Amino acid sequence: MEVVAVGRTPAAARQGFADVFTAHHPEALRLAYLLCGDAHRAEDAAAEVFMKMYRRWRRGRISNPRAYVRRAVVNEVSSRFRRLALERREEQRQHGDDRGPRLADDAAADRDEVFQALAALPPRQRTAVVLRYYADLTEADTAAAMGVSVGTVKSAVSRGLERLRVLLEEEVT
Amino acid sequence: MRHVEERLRRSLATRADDVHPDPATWDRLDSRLHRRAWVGWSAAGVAVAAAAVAVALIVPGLLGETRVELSPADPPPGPAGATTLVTTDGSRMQVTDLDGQVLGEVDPPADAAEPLPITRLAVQPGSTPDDLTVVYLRADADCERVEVGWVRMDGAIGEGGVLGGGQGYCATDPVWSPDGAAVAWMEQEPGGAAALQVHGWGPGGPGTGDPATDNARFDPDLPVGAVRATDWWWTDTDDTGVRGVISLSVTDPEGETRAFTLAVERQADGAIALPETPMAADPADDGVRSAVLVSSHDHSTERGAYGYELGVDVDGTVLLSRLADHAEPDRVPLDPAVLAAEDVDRGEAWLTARGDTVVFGHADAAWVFRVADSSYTALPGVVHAAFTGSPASDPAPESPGDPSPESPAPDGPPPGAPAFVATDGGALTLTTAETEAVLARAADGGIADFAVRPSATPDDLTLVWRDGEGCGATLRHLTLVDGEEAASGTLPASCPGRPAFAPDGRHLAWVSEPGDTAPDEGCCTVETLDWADGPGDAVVAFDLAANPAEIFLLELLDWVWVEGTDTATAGHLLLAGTDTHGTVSALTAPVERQDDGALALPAGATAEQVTPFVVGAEQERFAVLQADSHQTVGSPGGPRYRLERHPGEGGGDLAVVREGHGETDARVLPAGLLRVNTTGEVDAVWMTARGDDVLLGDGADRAWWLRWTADGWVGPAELDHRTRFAVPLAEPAGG
Repeated sequence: MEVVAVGRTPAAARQGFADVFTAHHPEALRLAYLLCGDAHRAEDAAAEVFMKMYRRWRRGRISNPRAYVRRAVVNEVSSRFRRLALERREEQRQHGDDRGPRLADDAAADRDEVFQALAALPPRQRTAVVLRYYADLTEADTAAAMGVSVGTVKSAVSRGLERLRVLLEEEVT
Repeated sequence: MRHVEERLRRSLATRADDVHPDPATWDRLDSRLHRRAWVGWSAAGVAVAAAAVAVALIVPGLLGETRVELSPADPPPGPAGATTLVTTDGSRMQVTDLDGQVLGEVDPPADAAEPLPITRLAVQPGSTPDDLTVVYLRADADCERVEVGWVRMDGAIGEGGVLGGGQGYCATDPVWSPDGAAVAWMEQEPGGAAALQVHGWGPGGPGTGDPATDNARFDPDLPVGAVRATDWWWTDTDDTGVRGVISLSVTDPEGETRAFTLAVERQADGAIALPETPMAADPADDGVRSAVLVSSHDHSTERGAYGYELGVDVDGTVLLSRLADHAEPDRVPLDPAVLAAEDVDRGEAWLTARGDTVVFGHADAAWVFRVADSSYTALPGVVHAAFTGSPASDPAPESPGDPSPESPAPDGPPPGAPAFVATDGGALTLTTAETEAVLARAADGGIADFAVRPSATPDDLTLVWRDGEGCGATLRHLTLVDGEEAASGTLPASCPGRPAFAPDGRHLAWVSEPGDTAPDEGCCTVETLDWADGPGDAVVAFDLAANPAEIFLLELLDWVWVEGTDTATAGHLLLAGTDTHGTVSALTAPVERQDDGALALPAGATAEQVTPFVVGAEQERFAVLQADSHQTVGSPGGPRYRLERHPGEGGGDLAVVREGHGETDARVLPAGLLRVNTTGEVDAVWMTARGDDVLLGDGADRAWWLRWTADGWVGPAELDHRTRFAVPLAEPAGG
């Protein structure tokens, strides 16, 4: 078949994409893991990001892969998280299950307590905190990755840290 | 705070360092990309493809001595291909995009208790997803009982019928003439000769076209075997008429399927004629036997630039090929697991194309193949599919105007539409440009309607919905904060009707409908509940007498303030009242919030009709619904929207009218968008608004979005759900 793809032949595109994957998949996977707290879901989300990215890549429509991957991971985890959380809650409501979110294991090391406290944050607060304190993004870059305003980022980070402070002090005592 | 930040950084870094990507991930991903890139290259296939890259070679004598001229070598102007399909899984028909995402339903008439399965369908050229005519074939497994039916979906209006059918013979694959003026299919008794049945088609549907075409039947001299039509295209035209071919697939008694072309003419007087005997598609120089042959139909009513073919080579491999004038065929072998020679030779494989997009399948699986990037999408469960035309307003994917080319492309509601909450009766769903989430499911009789507390955003919202009907209904509530559930429960309401929040969210009201009040006894009680961080405990009820007294059923639509001071607010409830004649009219009832915050309806308050209702053959009947824009929470003012008749204007005669700040602006709706009953009234319509966004529904399962702008109205654009009721949400603060 005559190849009509803009900018890249299929073979060149796939090799170039393999390089993009090698360069950015580890960071995408780690970011997804910190956002959702589950290694398998993070792996699925990261893989889906690159699957969806490939078509745009073939057309030469991605000039900043790192920023694209970051934004895509936030979206992918966010949409799955919200959908799964709300549907799970609806299932719990219909089946009379009143369990709350899983809390930290008392015997875990200090870093696990922090990570479990992070899991108790609402998704937007958790995302903002992870992007600011793990990825070290500026407020503006965090806002761009989340698709919200800088003001929303500031508010989410502030409220997230406050909630973490409360949770961790409760754990210590 | 600093200590928490330091611990957080260490924890995140340590946890991230513990994550090690699986080295096999790329191999798995590459395998998926490879499969998506094409359907199973075989080693031989790679060699074949490598040899077929050259462009502009001479077409072999593929179709025997009568060469089919497909088109000039230059690609035609116009759209490269449609972006939507009509598909069937045998029991229903749906409009989908090329990835299989369902965009809408096509509901054929099905009077039989157990209708035959749908096996084939054909979309009239010129159809769009919003104005669609489909001819479909129902047949049992042995093709001894058949029905050829048709359905036209024009916005909210559907109609259909039966073109033919019966027992003891088989009908196969309807095909449309390229101009949509005729549809044809083969009919054949088991072991008998096949005949071509043609039906003319005019603007009014079947039987309204050219009389010379309608119900024409031809008995061409066809090869022995099972015959089915696969496509119809024109090839040339002159003063005497238009000439073209109907392509056929014939499965002979030895079990081989071969393509034929049947010459067809539309003569100057409009009559369809078959002047010549069919011509077999001789094997090409490379020995590939053509089995199914179709045109690319780049233009919905003209011949296409290419032909596409499913063929079988001497090794028994199925090849998908693109054919062009003066060029060698481009051939790609198909994985036998996808399509095998025996599937083709049983006469089960089918193929359709539009521009550079091809859809093919057999049994209950189909695939969409895009020539441009050699990508494909599997459509499991699809028995047959056909392209529609592209809707006029359909934006091209990844268009240069995309404001965020670096961002992942969202899917969901029409571009630019606000976030909204909707119900299909079974669930409450929150839809934004990026996500869709189920908020709640019906527990009792089904979700009839709901209210959204003012200032709701996708992450922070309070909903109250009515589950069930009449005195069996309950009002349930849900509050989300930051996307997480903060509160939920059931309210102490008796026989509740549709709920509505006060403009500042401090009260909830509904009409209590005992349902058995005699017309001359007046009507209805308004029940209210204070709302702060959640619902109050006490329901306060107010008797509301309706005037005129013939109105016995009231439904609360909305709540507006019209004037206010620092301590008191006055406004009215907007209601729809049904009288003993079954006519619905708009009414208002005054409501006040007094200095102490208590809600009150003035003593003896009655519901006043907004518009006079005049009955008479020469008079217009109004169907007026009003919805406040809720643009200024809790404060008077803000535009209001109503639905009313605008007789004599272009398009339809119903319009959404925006009235605010002393100005009126009307958007006349397309004809047929909303159902009008036999007495000229609009049935069961609902309307909600937030700022400049209006959602409008037909009360069944279709809804549309409109937006007022200073430069004119946007829409109506249909929401891609079965929507019984919906409410737009505000934009998140700061975003």
